[in-house]
Amino acid sequence: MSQDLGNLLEGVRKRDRSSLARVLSLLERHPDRAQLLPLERGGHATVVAVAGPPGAGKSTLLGRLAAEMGSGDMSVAVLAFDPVSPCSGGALLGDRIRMLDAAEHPNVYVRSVAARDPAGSPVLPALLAVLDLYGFDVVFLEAVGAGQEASPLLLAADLALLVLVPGLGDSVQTLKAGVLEIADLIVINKSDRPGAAELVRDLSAYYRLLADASHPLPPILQTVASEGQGITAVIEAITALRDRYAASGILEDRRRRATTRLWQHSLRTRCLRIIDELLNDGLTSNGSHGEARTLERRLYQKLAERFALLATSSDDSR
Amino acid sequence: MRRRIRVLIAKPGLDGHDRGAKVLARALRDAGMEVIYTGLFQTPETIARSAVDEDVDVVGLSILSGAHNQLVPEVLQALRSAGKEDALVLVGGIIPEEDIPFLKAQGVAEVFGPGTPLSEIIRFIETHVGEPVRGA
Repeated sequence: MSQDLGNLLEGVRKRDRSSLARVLSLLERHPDRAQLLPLERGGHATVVAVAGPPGAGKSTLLGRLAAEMGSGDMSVAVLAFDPVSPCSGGALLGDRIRMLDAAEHPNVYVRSVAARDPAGSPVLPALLAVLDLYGFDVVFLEAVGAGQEASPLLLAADLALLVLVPGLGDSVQTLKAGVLEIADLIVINKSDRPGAAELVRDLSAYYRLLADASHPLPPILQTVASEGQGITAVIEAITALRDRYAASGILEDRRRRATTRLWQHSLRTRCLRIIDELLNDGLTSNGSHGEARTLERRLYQKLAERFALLATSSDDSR
Repeated sequence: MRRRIRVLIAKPGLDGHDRGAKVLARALRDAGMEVIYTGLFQTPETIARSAVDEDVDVVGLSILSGAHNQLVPEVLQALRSAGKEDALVLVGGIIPEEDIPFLKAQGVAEVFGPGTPLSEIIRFIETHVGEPVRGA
């Protein structure tokens, strides 16, 4: 199987799409193998995470961006994450349908990913390394439509693009403690709708309060992605930001931190999984304080046993 | 980790009715599969491209227009040209009984007509996934 992986990686290096598609499947199906991948991110590709509420037009915008970048001789990959059913573990991946025109372009690769295991973070660095090996200039990571919470995708990216739409009103409030703080670029999509100018004004005011030397004001751009309006300006902004971050050392700094944070995130996910497992394993209290305390102690005991086992086991017990 | 079956559901050609395709997409999702739904008016080349890029195990074609004898061989040819020969190809829709042997000879694994229980399609996929495109 590792022979397979070797051959496939050779194919990826030669820019064979079908090898690329198969390596990505292999990594998704065997996350443990991601650690065996003899690869580091080459650093050529600019990785842009795209977050925003469901229905903001993230996929449509990405389709337009990818198509225009592709026509301009840039090679672009889009990893479109969609939610997984908590009931069946299945997923309906519907982002591609918004990007079909882009996906036909020879310079554009679109891949739908089921966001299993909080963005499959143990695998994410490996996925990025493979896309880098292929030689993409830009890699877009389309987050599941939520946007309130900084997903691991945002941790892994060079740039965070936040897509908002007019008319969500108070949701801007709820976003405040989340991705708004780490967004490098804001796109107000569906800007032909009422309220777009107000949203731009509110956001500008918000960022003026937030801004300091370490956190420059993110550009706020307006698009109507379904009509292809404002796309060029977004591409120019992405390129300008990337160049600026590369020149000032921010890019290098982010990439170094991304490695650590993704590693931490993956450890955290594994620890939490063990805790969940134990909690779901018949640990129910009748509500009396004494009993709850006893059960809590038992949980700690079991956790100590499990973690001790993990600490001593030499192989990877995923 | 259990292997997740990846399915592409597409409608080639010119018919605007995708209720059935959506119902099936949903049912396959609920059966634990990863379903990539690409919707209406797809050319054979787009379908092949999507199948390669998404590395799917199954390509489900929904055709209600009556053009299946034209479209299905084109899609199969496009899949072969794109080097995607490891996908199970299924056809659903209004397909006259007498056309089914022709479609199967072209490489379609199975044809599901109106009223097929969803469970039957799910079972078929789970049983036959991994069988390559046959035929000419």
